[in-house]
Amino acid sequence: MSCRTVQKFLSARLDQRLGAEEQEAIARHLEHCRDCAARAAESHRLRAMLRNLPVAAPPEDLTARLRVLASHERARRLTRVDFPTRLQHLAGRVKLFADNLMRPVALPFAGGLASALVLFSMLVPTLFFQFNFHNNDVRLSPFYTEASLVETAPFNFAYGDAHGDAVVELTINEKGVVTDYSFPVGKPERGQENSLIANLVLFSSYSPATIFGKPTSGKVVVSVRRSRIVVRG
Amino acid sequence: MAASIFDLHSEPIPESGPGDDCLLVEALRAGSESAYEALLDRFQQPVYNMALRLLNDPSDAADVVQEVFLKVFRNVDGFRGQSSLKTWIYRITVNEAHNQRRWFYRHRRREVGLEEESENCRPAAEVIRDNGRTPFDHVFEREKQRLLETALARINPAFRESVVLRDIADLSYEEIAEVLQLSLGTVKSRILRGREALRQELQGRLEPLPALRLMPKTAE
Repeated sequence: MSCRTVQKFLSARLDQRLGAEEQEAIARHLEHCRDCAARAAESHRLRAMLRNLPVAAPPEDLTARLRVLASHERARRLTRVDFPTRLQHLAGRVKLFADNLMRPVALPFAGGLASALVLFSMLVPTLFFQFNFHNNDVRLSPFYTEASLVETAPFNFAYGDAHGDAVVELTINEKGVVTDYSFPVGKPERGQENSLIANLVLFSSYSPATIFGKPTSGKVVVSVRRSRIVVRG
Repeated sequence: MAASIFDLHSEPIPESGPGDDCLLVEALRAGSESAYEALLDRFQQPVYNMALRLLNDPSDAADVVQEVFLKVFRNVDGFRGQSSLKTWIYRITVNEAHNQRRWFYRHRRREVGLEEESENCRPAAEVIRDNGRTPFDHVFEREKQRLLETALARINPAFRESVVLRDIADLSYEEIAEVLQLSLGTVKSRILRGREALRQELQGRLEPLPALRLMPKTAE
């Protein structure tokens, strides 16, 4: 076998793609030919160097880019698969969307709602502050007590039988003093009777209305009937 | 949480094996998340390494890898299993590297990079891998590798593809023939000529120069 032929076969010999006869013939030749042996050794060394080249690690940004690419392509593919899978995928996306939407606001929302409830429940009783008195009103709130008549005037102002009934609405301040009065039903015609009622009302004593135990202004309706006073409402 | 919501096919995908390509391809077609991950885990590294050896440029290699996987994901329906998945992906890689090389010769050949080589920017602990070797050994080894990479980049691309597939990617002649769409005889010839070209490129450059010798001489 000539040197030229042997050198042609060296590459195939490296990859063990020669038959047994050719292998043997080349081995015999290499024992005697220093040039071809050197060439064979060089080929071996070159191949070992190629195999020992360091395996290059992909850059980190490439890894991230590939993951994003895979995610997009997968989402794209899922839009083209059969209907149940698409439906399942859609349900998953909706669930994820709702999850992402609600999760960040869940705690602030719950906290806000709870604190609003607490504050509102504390403030609600005070909203009864606007007194809207009517004769038939019955105050149910335990936090509010009506103004009331404690004692009628100790004097007799001779509001006799001759006079008709009268209804007087009194405004009582937080000290239990009458600050105003009026006749919601009808004013007595005569001035003397009017002043008699005024004296009767002014010399009576009252207890003020209270809210959370604190005296406050209020109103009381008093009915004057034939020498006696009847308090209503 | 999100992964479990989207994972429609959560069964594990086998890593490699002759019959497992079909399973992996089927799972890819069905849009399984784990299949996409398995494909990337299995092929990202070898594809990048091959692209780097074919192009000798890390940024070009990264671009090629991205293009390769884009084509794999989009054309997986067209994969009929006549060749192995590895061969199919390597064929795409070789073609993409070829396209990239052509694009480079058209557009970027005259560009000059201003940045340093990436290795020079890395910390020394990462660059020096084997602490047992002396700095001289390391430098010598690195220099040989650089010479080899340069020589590989200078030989004919057709020969380079064959040599890279055979000696670096460790493919058989038959697989190389499938990847390059060539006959077995042409593959053999290209590997032979590629190795020969590489040997000639490196001739006389890998041996250390003879040391300086002082010849004693008697004064006349």
